[in-house]
Amino acid sequence: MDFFLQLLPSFIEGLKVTLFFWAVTLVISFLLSLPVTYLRLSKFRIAAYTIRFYIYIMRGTPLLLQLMFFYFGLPYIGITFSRLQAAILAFLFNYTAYFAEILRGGIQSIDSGQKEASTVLGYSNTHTFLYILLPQALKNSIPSFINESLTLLKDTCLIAILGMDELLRYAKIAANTYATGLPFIYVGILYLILNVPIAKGLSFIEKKLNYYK
Amino acid sequence: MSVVIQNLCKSYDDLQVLQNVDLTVEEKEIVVLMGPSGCGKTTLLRCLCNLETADSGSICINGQYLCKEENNGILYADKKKRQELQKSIGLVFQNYQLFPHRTILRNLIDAPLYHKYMTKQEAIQKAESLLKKLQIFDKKEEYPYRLSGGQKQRAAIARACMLQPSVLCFDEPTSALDAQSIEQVGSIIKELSKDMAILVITHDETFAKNIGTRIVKIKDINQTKN
Repeated sequence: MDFFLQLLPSFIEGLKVTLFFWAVTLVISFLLSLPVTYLRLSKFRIAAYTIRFYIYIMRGTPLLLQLMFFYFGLPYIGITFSRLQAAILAFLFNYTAYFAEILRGGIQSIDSGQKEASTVLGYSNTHTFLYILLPQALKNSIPSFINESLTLLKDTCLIAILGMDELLRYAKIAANTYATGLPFIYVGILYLILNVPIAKGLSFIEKKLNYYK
Repeated sequence: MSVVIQNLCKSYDDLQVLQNVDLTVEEKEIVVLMGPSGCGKTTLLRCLCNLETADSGSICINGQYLCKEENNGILYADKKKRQELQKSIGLVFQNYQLFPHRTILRNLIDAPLYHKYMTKQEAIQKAESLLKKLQIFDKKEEYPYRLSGGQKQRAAIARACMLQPSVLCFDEPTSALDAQSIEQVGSIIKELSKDMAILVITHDETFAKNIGTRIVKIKDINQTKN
């Protein structure tokens, strides 16, 4: 326990970075996924195919590779980002693609008659998307969003590849310093504990959205 | 005349569903379109409601063309005009298609508010008076899943009436209803026909005879060989 308390300040520093990445990616990627999904499902073929290609790249390559591309690869063509910028961009690009696919699934699972009812009532495509399909799709997609948010929490440890000090990196430093594997166990437990409020919080939203069937 | 359909053709790939269909529906008339499954009744209704694009022919609603024949092809009205015409046609879907995340009242008032037809107060007043007329006023704050099939259908009828269409279409309105609800829907349709033209698709012959001012067999107007 003493050893854990000794490491706790550095773990808290790591935890701040981990939670910062988790929250920023979750919120911004979710917001970005709305227009991406809209375009993916739109009749504008160029936009729809561009989005499909983007999603294909993001889902088809490892996030670790994407992080390295943004930080180490882009400077070759004259685009340079700080570690933080590169990490955030890679996470946003990657998770926006995943969230957009979740939303697309949610929208496509809605009875096509809902869209037709909107057409008959004279609603525009944007109005139909925002006020008729999206609220229903969100309800359908919440279990997948919970899964993806928990994956995101664990994925944040990948930013260590850019030398950023997140939770797992602090554990690695401590393990090397004290020549023991215990810090990894502590960090594992911390991740497990973090999962609980996140899953509970999102389940609460799921229940709130369950006001209709 | 409220609706004039002429020479309407529609096919899905190689399957010709509608061939040179002519149909008119006058104001204050209840036209019942009958025929077996797969004979094109619903397709015709969907073309009229702009949910399907016809291959050729013309559809004229209140003297304005939704589509018309031009150079052996078909010319649809521009998007703005189509949206405008859309408001003249109401459709009550077979499975109602109420928006499940909205209360019955919101289901009713959203469309007139979206089109800025009336103020919120006016929309609520109109919705409430329609719900009273259809005997589901006490359900106005409920979500659709809490209503029975007959109540959902009355809510769907009320929603379609909010935009004061000149033509109201019903797709198989009796398919999921018990005898009492069928009777209720029949009298509602008759009541509505005082202010608008009604087109009903059904294969319930008794219902058709009960409500229809004119019964049209689709095989008599559809020249397809299928």
